[in-house]
Amino acid sequence: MPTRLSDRGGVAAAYAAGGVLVIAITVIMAWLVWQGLSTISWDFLTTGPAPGSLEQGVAGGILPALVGTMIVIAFGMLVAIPLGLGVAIFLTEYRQPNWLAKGTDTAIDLIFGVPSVVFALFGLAIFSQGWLSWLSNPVGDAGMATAQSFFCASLMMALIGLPPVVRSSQAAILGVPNQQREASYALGKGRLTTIRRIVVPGARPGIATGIVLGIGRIAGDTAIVWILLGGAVLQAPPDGWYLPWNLVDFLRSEGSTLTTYIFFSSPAGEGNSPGQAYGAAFVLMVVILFVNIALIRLSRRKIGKR
Amino acid sequence: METPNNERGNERETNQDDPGYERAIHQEWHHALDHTADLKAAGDPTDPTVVTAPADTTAAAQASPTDLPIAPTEPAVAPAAGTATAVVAGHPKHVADPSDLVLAIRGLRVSFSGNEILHGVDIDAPRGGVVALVGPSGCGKTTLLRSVNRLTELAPTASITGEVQLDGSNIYDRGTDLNLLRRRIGMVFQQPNPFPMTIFDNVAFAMREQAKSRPSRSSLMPAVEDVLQRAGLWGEVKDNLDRNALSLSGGQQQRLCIARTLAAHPEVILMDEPCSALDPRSTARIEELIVQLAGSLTIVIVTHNLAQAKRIGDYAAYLLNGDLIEQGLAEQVFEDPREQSTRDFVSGMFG
Amino acid sequence: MASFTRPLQTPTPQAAPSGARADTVFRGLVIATAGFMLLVILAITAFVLYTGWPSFSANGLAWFGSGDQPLDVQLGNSFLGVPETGEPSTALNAWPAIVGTLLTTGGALLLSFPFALLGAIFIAELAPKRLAAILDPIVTILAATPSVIYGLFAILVLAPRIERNFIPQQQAEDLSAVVTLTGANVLLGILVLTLMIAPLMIAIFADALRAVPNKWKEGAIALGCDEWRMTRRVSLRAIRPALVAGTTLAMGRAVGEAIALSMATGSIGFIPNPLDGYFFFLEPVRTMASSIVDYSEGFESPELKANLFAFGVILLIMTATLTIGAKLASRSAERRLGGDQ
Repeated sequence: MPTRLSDRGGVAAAYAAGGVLVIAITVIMAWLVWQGLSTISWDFLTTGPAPGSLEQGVAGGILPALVGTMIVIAFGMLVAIPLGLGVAIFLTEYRQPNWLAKGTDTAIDLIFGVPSVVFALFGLAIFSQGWLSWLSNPVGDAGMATAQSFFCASLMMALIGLPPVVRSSQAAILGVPNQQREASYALGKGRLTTIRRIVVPGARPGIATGIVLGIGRIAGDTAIVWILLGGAVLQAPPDGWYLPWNLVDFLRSEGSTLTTYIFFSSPAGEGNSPGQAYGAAFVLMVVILFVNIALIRLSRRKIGKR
Repeated sequence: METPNNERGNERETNQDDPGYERAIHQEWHHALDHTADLKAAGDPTDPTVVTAPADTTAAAQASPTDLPIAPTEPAVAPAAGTATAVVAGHPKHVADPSDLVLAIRGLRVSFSGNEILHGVDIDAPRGGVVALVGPSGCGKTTLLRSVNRLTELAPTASITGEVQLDGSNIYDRGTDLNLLRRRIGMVFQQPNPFPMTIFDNVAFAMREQAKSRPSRSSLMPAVEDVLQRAGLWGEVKDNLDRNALSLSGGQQQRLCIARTLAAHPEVILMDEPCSALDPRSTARIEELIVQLAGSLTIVIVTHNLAQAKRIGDYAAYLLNGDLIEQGLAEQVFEDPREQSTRDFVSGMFG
Repeated sequence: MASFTRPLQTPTPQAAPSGARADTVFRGLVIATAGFMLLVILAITAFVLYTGWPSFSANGLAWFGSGDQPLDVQLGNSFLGVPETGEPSTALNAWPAIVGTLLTTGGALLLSFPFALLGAIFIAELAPKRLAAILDPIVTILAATPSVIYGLFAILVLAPRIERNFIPQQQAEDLSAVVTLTGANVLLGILVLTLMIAPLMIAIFADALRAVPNKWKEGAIALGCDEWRMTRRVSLRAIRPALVAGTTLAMGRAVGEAIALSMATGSIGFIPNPLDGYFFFLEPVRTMASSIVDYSEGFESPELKANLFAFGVILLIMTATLTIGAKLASRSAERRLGGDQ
């Protein structure tokens, strides 16, 4: 026990903070699980919103929102992973020209710091240009586009998912021992082969960590979806949207994700159906939980390898 | 594939731990080149005559090898009067009374996760002496040392039994004030570890810890100067006490750590291979410092370097695989060991 | 010596002739991705600034002023048109939105920084190892929890309780001519932001505390410090870069949070009046970021679009300043730690 009064106060405050933390965690988790479980059912997960939802409050299931979340994750990461890996390889293996390395470094920091609502504005500004109307749908004959589609949302999501991919991969690539690179060069292998065969495989757990972090950020974002995917929360996807010949049309259309579904059906949105919001929040939390379990397992694997 | 990986990993870790380390080493070398003249003028500290005990010690020890000043079987606090007189003639110059044990370790056993590192070790440290703990790597020297100021138990898997008596009372007794204990038994680590603050703040650290209210800088200054003088660092740093301590060279950092420890007014200082990260010149300065400090306080030093143990140790204890093999006057342990195993070790056959 | 002088970057090797071309192409590709990132940042700045510029140029410095029309009326006018003429107008005095952003962010930081610091010390140094091992991943999950879920918690669980316990009927009626008091207000906005950013800060601070080199921690303990004194006198000094980085990151999140604040602050463009005593905290606001989301259906009006993009410009400037400032600040703090004075 510390002797000084200020130390005693400090220790007591730290324990109090810990206690508040434990209580807050317990309350939030218990609330979410309790409320979520009372809504959730197989039908809730596998059907779309019921017709006429808006009149009596949102009813029915969340399938379109769940699918929407998966789509923006998939397409966002599809763009973010190669881009992020390329940037990470540039920042670790090349770093020439130097001004570009410094600039890119700052750019990644800035992209990490920019609020997603600003990305949403940016997406709105570029994707509403007429020549990009193939990404969403044209508006009348004004040479503009709606800028609201899975394509538009996913492309901005890629920017949200990118910084963690870059930073984790960068750290992991730096951790690949130089001897391994030198051994590869000594065998007469070129730079590309060395990067493909030695560097990237050696950095795989770190790259995977970055990807999972990126997925977590995308799954949780609301502002981009709200502005770039539109408020079509109560619209079930057209039949057969997943068929290859329908897919492009579907991806050019508006939609929803779990986050916008929650926002819409909360008292702050037009839907005002807390039960539905709880259910969707519970499902979203399960997604985030899986992401975090994956992260913990990945970090264990990294430690195990050392 | 994995082996080189590890090697590089270690190398990197060291550098990360100690950002200024490489640079410090370079500086230290330049320093050494520039100031060889000073070094000569100051007297060659590697000269054994400066540091070792008077020659008659050896004679006395050889004359009565059984009458060692430290006998592990004897009670720590009340030694028999007879033995004391027998060794007075031969005791090292820093030690007023070899039977006056400031530290007495009795039957110390330490294990980590059930893996026993020390199997019941007895060590004596007479007041004012320099006790050198030697032995091959992994013999438990460092664990022994860290058990004396109860740092070992910071590892949650550690379990410790046995006694460590400081002035006759067991530090492992319930109710021991750990913070007070650690002020009485200071420690200097293998890697110099000044805190990331100014030189002044490093030295004043313990004083501020012990003060009731916040002491002013000017009220601390005399004491700071005093301990920096004693650590032989004052001349080098007196004009920039507000410089970051991490900008000092490795050898200066280690002397700063000694000064920082001295500022807590310890009775005993534990040193865990304090020179292993330093170049020869800095090592010599630290050795010189240890010899100067002995007498006014007791020093227990773990060292890997036998020559160093010989140069500075009044007493020596040889550990092997967690057992104490032999302890006694340093001359006796190094020149005329009783045990074959000690003889093999000191003659450089292994370790 | 060799290991000290060896460059960290491997020198370009003599590439095998067969792979040389593929190498060049790959290098070009990689440089292109890096260049693309620069392009993205420039494009964001250019497009957002270009679209928002009419709002600034039409209003001049009055943009930052308080004006005499409520924020919501102004934004409505730029969508539906000014009542007198029916023409949409870019006229905007954005002070209420700026106040909303500053109040919620500032309040959340004041509340969460000490809480996060103490919580991190608890988890990293004081808590029993087992409790810490449980709390650690949970804090990470809380930090990764989508803001819309915190918004939902705030509006469904906290708002009714605030309304019931802190807003007496009488005072609410007295003020009803000026503003309607509900459970969604500045206080709830601060609370929801705190829920969002405190776990983030705890995670960053606790990681940093644990990463303080053991030699410093042991050094302090060996000088007679307990865990608390050790943390206060050595660790907190050592983690200053992380304190700066974590706080600015959290601040950036708070400034840019749109959805949770749109749900929690009441979303009324009101300037809380300090003269109302503690009711100050029970009055609603509307932040810049949540204005963008709240009015997102009106983007087809160029006037409203310009005004909302102008909010985006301010957010972009604020977060970019925070990002770069944090980088510089933590770099200088690190340099001080490294002893390069």
